[in-house]
Amino acid sequence: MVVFTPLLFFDIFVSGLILGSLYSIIGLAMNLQYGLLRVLNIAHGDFIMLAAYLKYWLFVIFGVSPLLVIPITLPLFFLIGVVLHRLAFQRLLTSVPVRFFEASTLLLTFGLSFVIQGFASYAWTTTPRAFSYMAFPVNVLGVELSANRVIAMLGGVLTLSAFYLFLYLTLARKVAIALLQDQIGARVVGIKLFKFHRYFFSITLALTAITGSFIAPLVYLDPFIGIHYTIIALLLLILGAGSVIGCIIGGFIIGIAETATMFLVTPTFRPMVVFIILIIILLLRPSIRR
Amino acid sequence: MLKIKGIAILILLTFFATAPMYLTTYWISLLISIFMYACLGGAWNILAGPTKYISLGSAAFFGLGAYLTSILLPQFPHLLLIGIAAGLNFLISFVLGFVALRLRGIYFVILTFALGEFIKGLFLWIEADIVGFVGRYIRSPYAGPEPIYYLLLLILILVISVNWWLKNSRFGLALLSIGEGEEKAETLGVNTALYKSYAFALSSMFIGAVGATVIVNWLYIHPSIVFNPLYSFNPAIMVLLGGMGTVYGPIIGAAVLGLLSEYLLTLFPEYYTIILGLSLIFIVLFLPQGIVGALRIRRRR
Repeated sequence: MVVFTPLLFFDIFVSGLILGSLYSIIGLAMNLQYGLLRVLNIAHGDFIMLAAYLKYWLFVIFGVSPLLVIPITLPLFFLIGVVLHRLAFQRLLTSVPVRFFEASTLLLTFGLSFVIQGFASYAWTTTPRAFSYMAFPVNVLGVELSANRVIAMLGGVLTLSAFYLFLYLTLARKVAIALLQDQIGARVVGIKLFKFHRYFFSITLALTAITGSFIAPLVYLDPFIGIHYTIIALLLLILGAGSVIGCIIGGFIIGIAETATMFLVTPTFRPMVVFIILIIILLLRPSIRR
Repeated sequence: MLKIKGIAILILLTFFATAPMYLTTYWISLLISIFMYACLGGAWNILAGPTKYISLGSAAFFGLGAYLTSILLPQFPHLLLIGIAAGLNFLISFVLGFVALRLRGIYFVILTFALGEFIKGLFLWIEADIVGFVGRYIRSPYAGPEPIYYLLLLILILVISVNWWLKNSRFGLALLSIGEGEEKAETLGVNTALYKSYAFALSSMFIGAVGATVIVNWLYIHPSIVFNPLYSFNPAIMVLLGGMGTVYGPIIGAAVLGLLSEYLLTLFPEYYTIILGLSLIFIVLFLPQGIVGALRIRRRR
């Protein structure tokens, strides 16, 4: 039986915050993709899984230091993004009416998700894998946490803040908003739709690569972990409703709720917490009933 | 034209009704799986076809029907259980529809998917923590697969009739108007909330009945098997391939993808999910109207 003490609640709170910050990073990457490009990427979590696997193999087989993995995976994912966009998404941009674009990207990325999962289970088998790197404990606010968790959180927060600074300091965000408001008008004033869409898509995919590398040492990897992250990202997309702060707070809420369920109720109930929050939010939020 | 169609349907019906007499068990079980997907796809099409509400929660209703049957099978006759499963699913989704169908577009898609995964988690949790064991064996009340075959054929005929009726009735027209523009339909006096819920309930009723029927053939039930999200995706993919909102689209899609999956699963089981995903990508990019739609466009030219 769990003994309820103030210390236990503090423990739950801090580990929930750490977990939550990881979730916020996942959610923010999807938020960008959907908010700027209207691409609803169901394969988001699968790309995270792919990046995590790449990190695992680079570290375990080639002995590449996990800190040096990002300079390899980041350009690779950028390239994948360019190719994928040229082959698939660009066709959707031209052939599908704007109001069906989101739904079409959703179905397309569902297919993509199957392909990635199938490829991963074929190439790497479904055996769960894990590796240990910097797993020694550090003391954060009086709670013992493994160092890689803290690094993951700091690294993720740094990358995303850097990216958001880039967005707000350059014209990129204005271009995106212009395209969202009026595609034809934006093209008239000289914005190159395909070029912008393609490179932005590739950049968000590169961000996924970073997220995946930070998550890799924290989980048991198997080809099907992606779905959990996709669901969390979707939930944050809805919770945050496009705002960065909303997305971050939402991430913390889910992180704490999941940790609390694990400590106080039962671990088997944990996967359902996300769905319960998602269903409640969807049914209660009046603004998305459009 | 109508006469040719009638004769073709009659020939097909006599062929399928007498098939167990001259086809081997292998072909019967293949037909059972194609019929199952055609039923699921056709049932999914009842809501999605005219109204464009894409549900990815079919697995929830499929699994509910299957679970209900597996628990009550020792005490009650199978036919009664199929009826109960259908009725229960109708009631549940009719009530659920009023709440869930207020959401539109991607939000409805996400909600139905979350509901499916939630129910799967709920059953896993109930079985593991409350019942004490996960999964159970089922003793089929039938000697062979033939009764299942005929039951599925019957459900398929019902599903096709409902889809055909939707094309030719006030109810179907009302649903179509919702798909074309919900606000406009409402202004014209269509009770959109009620009609959407009816369509959702009809659709889940058939899905639940299919679940209750085929589970007897499987002999073992586990929440991860019957609530597998593939039972939500596959029908949707098949209908999209065949042609959404058409009467025969779901059947053509189920036949094509069913035979393809069977072929792939026996020859290269490792590539199965990859090819399934690639075919979905192909459909979205090159066949947005489905096979039936593409044929129609060609005929018009």
